[in-house]
Amino acid sequence: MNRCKVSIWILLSLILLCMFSLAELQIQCREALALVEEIESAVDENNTGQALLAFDNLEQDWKHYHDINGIFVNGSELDSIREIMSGLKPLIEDEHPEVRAELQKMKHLILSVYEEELPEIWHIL
Amino acid sequence: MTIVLIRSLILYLVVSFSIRLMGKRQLGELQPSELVVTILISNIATLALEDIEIPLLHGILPILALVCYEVMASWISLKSVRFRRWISGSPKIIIQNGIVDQEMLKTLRFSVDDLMTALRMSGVFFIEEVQFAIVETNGSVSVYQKSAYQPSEKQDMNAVQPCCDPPQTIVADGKLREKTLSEIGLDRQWLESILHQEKISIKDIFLLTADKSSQYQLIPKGVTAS
Repeated sequence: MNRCKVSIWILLSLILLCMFSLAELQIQCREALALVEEIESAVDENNTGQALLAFDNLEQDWKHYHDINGIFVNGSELDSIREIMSGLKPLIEDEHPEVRAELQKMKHLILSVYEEELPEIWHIL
Repeated sequence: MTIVLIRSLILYLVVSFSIRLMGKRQLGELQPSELVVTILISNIATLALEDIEIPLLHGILPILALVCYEVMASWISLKSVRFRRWISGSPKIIIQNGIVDQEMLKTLRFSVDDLMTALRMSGVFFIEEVQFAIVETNGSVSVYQKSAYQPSEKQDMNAVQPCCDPPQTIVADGKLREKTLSEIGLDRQWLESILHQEKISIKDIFLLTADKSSQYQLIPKGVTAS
């Protein structure tokens, strides 16, 4: 009976941990997405200075997001975002037409980090 | 490298705790569900150890969850016979009154060699000696011999002695186990009288065992076989 109680407590803690990880991922991803959108709007307004400033913020914050999210999701998913990020700065500086496509790709990847953790039936299967 | 070292320590602790949580039953004979959990745990732990890209939580969480499921399943199976049958199966009789149930052997995919090996391991070499042979849910075979072939026991010869508990260790390597002493109904006074009688102190005793009837065996330190 004692073991059973311990097991129930452990299971409840694990469920809480899962819920916390989902909430944390959602917050981190939302914040990262907001920064990407900030870059996107600055690029749309051809404001390279503003775009670079927003990119620096994103780059700085992503280090923190990467560490936190790395506890909950596979490192390779986060690495692919970091990979895109590393090539983004020169594209913004050169006002390259590929910037928008790269930003879209990054938004999609960030969103998928959170969405793929959602306990939906097709993710489970 | 250091990360792998630390992760392996954490996983070692988690797996040890998990096996401990499953209980002593786990360490002996495995029921089907316990076998499944044991195999899964070893696999999950290996994956999390080998690949540092996988978060440690992805290794720890399923291990703990599996063990909790197993503990709860075993608790439910204690309460419900139907659940127990479903999860562990039921024992099957393969020999009754010296006759082998060949259909049951086929159902269990138990070969004649398996059967003979199991009988020999139980000390039986002739099938006709067997009253009952049962394949237990963990795959082991229990054999009950016909009375004519069973070894005679003390009570058959009216040589039964009053029940006596096995002796307990009172002093081991110069250290007294007070709890054991009181558990077998003896006290410090009895111990002092033994020490006085044997002219020895506790720290010079290698092993002192005693039973409830105050029968004791004392081995002083420094005694060797040669």
